[in-house]
This record gives sequence, structure tokens and C-alpha cells, in this order.
Amino acid sequence: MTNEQLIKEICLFFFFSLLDEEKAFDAAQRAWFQYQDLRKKLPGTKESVLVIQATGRVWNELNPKLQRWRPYLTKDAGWAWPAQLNMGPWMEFQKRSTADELMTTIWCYIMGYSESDVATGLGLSEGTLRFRLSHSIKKIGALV
Amino acid sequence: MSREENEKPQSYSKWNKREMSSFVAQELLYDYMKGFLDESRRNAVESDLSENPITKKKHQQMMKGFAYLEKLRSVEVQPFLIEQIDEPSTYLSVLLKKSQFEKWPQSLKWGIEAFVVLMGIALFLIVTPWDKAIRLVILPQNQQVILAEVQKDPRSNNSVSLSDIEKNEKPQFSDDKKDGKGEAATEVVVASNEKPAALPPTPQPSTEKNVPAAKPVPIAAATGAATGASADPKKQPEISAADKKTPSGGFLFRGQFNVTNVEMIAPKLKEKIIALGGRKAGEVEIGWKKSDTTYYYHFTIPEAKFEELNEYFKTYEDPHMVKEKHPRVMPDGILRLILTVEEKRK
Repeated sequence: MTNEQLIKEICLFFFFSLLDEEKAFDAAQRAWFQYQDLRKKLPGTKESVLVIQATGRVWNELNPKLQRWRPYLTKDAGWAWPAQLNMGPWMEFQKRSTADELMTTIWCYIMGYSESDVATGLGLSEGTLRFRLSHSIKKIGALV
Repeated sequence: MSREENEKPQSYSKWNKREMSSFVAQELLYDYMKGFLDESRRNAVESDLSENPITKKKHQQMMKGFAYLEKLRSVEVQPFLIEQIDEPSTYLSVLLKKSQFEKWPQSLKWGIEAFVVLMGIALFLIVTPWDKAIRLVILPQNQQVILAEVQKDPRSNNSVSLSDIEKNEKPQFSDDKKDGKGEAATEVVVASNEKPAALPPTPQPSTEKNVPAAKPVPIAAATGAATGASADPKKQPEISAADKKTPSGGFLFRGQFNVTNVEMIAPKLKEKIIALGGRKAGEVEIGWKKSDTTYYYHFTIPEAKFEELNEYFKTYEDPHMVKEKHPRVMPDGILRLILTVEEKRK
């Protein structure tokens, strides 16, 4: 994958996880620099795994301070979505879900990463990953 | 064991059947939808789906969830955002983001910017060496202030007026050893006639009848006096007025008084002058006998003794010392005097 694609995926992850464009920009920048450091330290590792690890580190730093009930989306900061797309259910899900459910859902079903890569990146078993994903899907389905 | 017992499948269930509960079926819905279940479990979930409305409802919810997540994939990232993230952030950009500078009121932003500009201007004004800049820019290098040098030699070319006076006038006296003629450097001609005229007591020209009210140019006065013997002896050029054309800052005191029996008094005056620290200032000695009735005193004296000397003179007669400008500059604290003592006419 090119650098632009990797940066795009990192940006999308923090956009959906933080729902705050300013914080998402800062977090994406920090995660990108983390990724570059990890790439130097772990040269043989898969790019997707490194991206997940870098974003996971930054997310763990931000999560305790994150105020999930205050989304800040303006469409001017660099993220764009169709007008008919309703962000309400996702905002509600982001507020109610656990950090693990949020991360796994974003990586697997929004970014399209394989469950094995996500499990490796997060340091989980696939069974645990599927358990969290099933709960996430059920929650989102109930909110839609 | 009989063969029939061996052919019967081993049953772990008390009631000889094994059925999947709805709870388990609901928990396995995700794996079922993903196709991770084996045949028996898949059949069990499907049977529960067809029979249990709750399981069916949850299945539908999960379908909606998958569909919604699929829609969320339409969110895009603008290229400029990718470029911004790729470039390194500076300290200033981080500071502005942390302080949320963009959200500050406009008036506050303008105030801060104006303050920064004023501080820059003030710093520039303080740091810049303005005196050196002015010297370099405003004053050209070739412009220099030259102090005029006053020369004692009367034949010097510093003053045109002095040389003209020397050429044209016939001084009554001087300090020259040869002919004992008078001051050549003075720009004032006392008189063209041989007899020295009485100096006006005050510098006010209106007090004297024959003293012209105007302040004549020294050259004109000198030439006028020199050309004539026809010059009116009664006319006395104004002496005490400061000659603005005098180039130097020097001066001298000129006085004149009449005494009875000048031959007796002249040596006493000389002794007193010398006792007070007087030194001859010209070529002739102090108390030079100019004529039978006139004695000439040209000397320097310490300024501190001047008053005492003046008081001594007043015991005979007030000499009416007049201060005149002269190109010859004396050292600080030293005064130069020219005094003329004459026999009082009866």
C-alpha cells in the first residue's frame, strides 16, 4: 500500500473512533509518525498490522480523556460523506460501546481488514475478536 | 454388549435428544451469518430462526447492522488532509492548535497582533544605533568642523581686515622693536592723528557727540582713518561694540586715564602691575614712554588680580576699562590689557 492509502486509513479510523475532526487530525498525525517508527523497528511485519498497532497505541492514550458525547463534525476539516448518510446511529454506538468493540468494528467492517490481521495487531484471539464483533453488530443493528 | 446396543448412537442427553437453545442460537448468529458453523449447528440455528421470533429479530438487526456499516465505507478523506498529516508540524502550529487560536474573538486577535508589531518596532528603535546612522547618512564624510586657528603673526592671511589695516593705517605705536609702533593685529584704529584720542567712556555711541552711531566695518573705519589725516580727529570709531566679524574668541581690556605728573606716577603703576603678576604682552616693556606726556602699558595679568588692579587705578582716576574683541586669544585666567596714561591737561 502507498503512504497515501495508509494515511487515509489512519484518518478514517480516528474519524470514526473520535468523531472530533480536530482531535482526529492530531491523532492521525501522531499515529502516522508512530507507524513510521514501527516500520523501522519491525521491518518484516505486515503493513496492516503495523497500522493497527500504531493507531491502537494512540487510541489507548486518548481514550481515557475522550468525551464521547461531544461529536465535532463540520465537513470542512478534510472528511466528506454523502448527505444522505445518517451519522446518528454511529454516534450513538460510539457513545455506548466499549473501546474494544469500537476498534474492532472499525477495523473489520469499515476499513475492511481481515480478522486475522486485526487479531494479530490487537493481540487477541480470533474467537475473542468475533465475540466482540458480534456484540457490536447487534448494537448497531438495534440503533439503525 | 449386543450388536443393537453398539449400533445405537451414543447419547449424552438425559432425554435422548440434543437441541440448541435459543440463547446459544442467538450467540451463534454472527458465525452463522459468516459461515463459520458446521452443518449440525447451522441446521440448529436455522431451526431456531424459523421457530423463535426473538432470534429472528436479532438476525434482522444484524443484517441492518452489516448494511449500515457498509454505507459508512462511503466516507472519504480529502487529499489536502493527507498532505497536511504527512508534513511535520512546527512548534507554532502545535501551539496554535492547543490554544485554539482560531476560536478567539477577532478583536483579541487584532490586539495581540498589534502588540507584537509594536514590540517589534520598539525593539528596532532601541537596538538601532541612531547616532552612527545619522553620522553616516546625513552628515557626509567630507564635512568636518575645522577650528579656526588664530595666529599671532600680523602678517598672516587669516584676516583680510587685519592685513588691510596693516597696509593702510599708520599705527601710532607698535610693539615692534624697530619703530615701536603699535598693535597691528587690532582691527580698531584709535585715530589717524598722532595724538591718541580719548576713548569713549561707555560703549554707548549716543553718549559721545562725535562718535558715529553706526558700528562701522573695521576695514572701512581703518581705511577711512588711514587715508586721512583729513579724518576728523574728533570722530572716534566705536570700540567697545563687539565686532561680529572678528574671527576669534579673544578679547582685551583697553583703558585710558589722565593723571597729574605722569612721570612720577608711571613707575608706580608699573611696579604695581608687576607686583600683581603682570607680564608684558607686546614688544615694548610695561610702561613704555611713548611721548613726554604719554605712557603705554601693554601687559597680561591674572584674572583674579584684575579687580585689585582696577581699584588701584581708580585711586588716580577711573580708567573706564572697555572690553574689546580681539583675534588674539589668551589662556584661561589671563587677561590682556592696554592702558594709556597721559598727563592731565590744565
